[in-house]
Amino acid sequence: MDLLWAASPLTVREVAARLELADRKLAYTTVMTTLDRLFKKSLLRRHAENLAFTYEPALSKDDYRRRVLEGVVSDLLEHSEGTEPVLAAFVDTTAELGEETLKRLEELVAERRRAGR
Amino acid sequence: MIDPVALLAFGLVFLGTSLALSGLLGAVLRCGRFLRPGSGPLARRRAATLVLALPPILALGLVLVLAAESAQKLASGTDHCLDHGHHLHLCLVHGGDWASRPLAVAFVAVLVVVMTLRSGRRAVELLLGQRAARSFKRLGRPLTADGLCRVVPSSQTFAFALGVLEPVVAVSSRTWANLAPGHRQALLAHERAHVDRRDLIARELLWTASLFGLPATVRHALSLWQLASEQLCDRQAAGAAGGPGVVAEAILAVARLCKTPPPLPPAALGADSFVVERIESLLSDEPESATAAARLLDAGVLCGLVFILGCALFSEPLHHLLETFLG
Repeated sequence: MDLLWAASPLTVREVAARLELADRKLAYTTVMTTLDRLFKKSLLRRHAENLAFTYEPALSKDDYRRRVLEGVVSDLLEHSEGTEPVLAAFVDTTAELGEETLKRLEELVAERRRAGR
Repeated sequence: MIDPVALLAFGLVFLGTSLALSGLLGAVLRCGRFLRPGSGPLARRRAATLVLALPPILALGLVLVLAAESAQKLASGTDHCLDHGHHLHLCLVHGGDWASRPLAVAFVAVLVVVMTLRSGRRAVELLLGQRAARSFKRLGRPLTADGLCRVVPSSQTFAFALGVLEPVVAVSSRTWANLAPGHRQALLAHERAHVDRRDLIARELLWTASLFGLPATVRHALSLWQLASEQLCDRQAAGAAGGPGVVAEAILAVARLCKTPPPLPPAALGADSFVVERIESLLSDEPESATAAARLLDAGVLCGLVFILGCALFSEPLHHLLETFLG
């Protein structure tokens, strides 16, 4: 994905050549399969040109990062449901914290601030 | 030659002792003054740690004493098992008769299966957490020079420390965007405190120990430990981010943000809401109680040593008592 964000569209052969330049030599078929999988996941677009496909990113780098991270967060929170959490949250669920309690606590904090403590 | 089936009896002694001690220490914890506000979060956390960790450690000590006694008798030729065949033996070699007690076998088997399943599930959750932590580190926008704290693009409200081995602090972009600079600093200082204090590792170790405790005691002690840890991190954050008032405000700002949609699943970030207790503790100038915590540790170690020493001194009558009790 980084190669295609840097320069696109590229053919399979061009991607393989650039990987080789970056000391990551992979078989042509491996690169082709990987690009095809990324296309099927809608992460790449492809066009037929001179009997070969050229590939380009379907998402910007920022959009891609957002999509991956949203998936990770969603997986993490869904799996945590009903179990002892594996993370230390700043504020736990506020399901039991009513508006009245919040206001009382805010008043307590404000009082303390007024007293200069 | 050690008979593997003989280990069943030692397993039963271990589980029984651990559960009994867990019940006893749980009752002490409930009756003790550590639960009262003002006892200090460090002392409360220490008390909860001891209640969770001591039962399996002491039970293991008892089992080792009994196994050593059995091995020593076998080595010195003073083994008495064959002299009295009317009951089952707590013996490394002659304890194989346990296989003829289907209830005992089933009891231990069920416990082992339940513990294995729970441990397996926990391992999967931890791996998932570690994978998420790696993704946050790789793709999240760094907030601090050391790269520990990251902003994660999300429309939900959250901020947490994650990852036992490679910890990371993740803050959702929504949370970050809606906090004032002082509150952001307090939030990061609080989460960094969790990482510095190695709370995530400590909690996993206690969770493992809690497999051998009574569920009611475990729930209570883990909740107490969790609250005390949050309060200690609040104090550390207060020292780094402008005082308890700022930390209290930050907690309330995030709590208020949580009330607006989209909400997270109720259990995702923990079953307990400690907001009230944390703010009241922050504003009450409650002492940390380092001295009380040190005394508790001393008392815990002393009780442990007395227990193991007592088991070693009275291993012979204890051995017979347990054999009679187990059938």
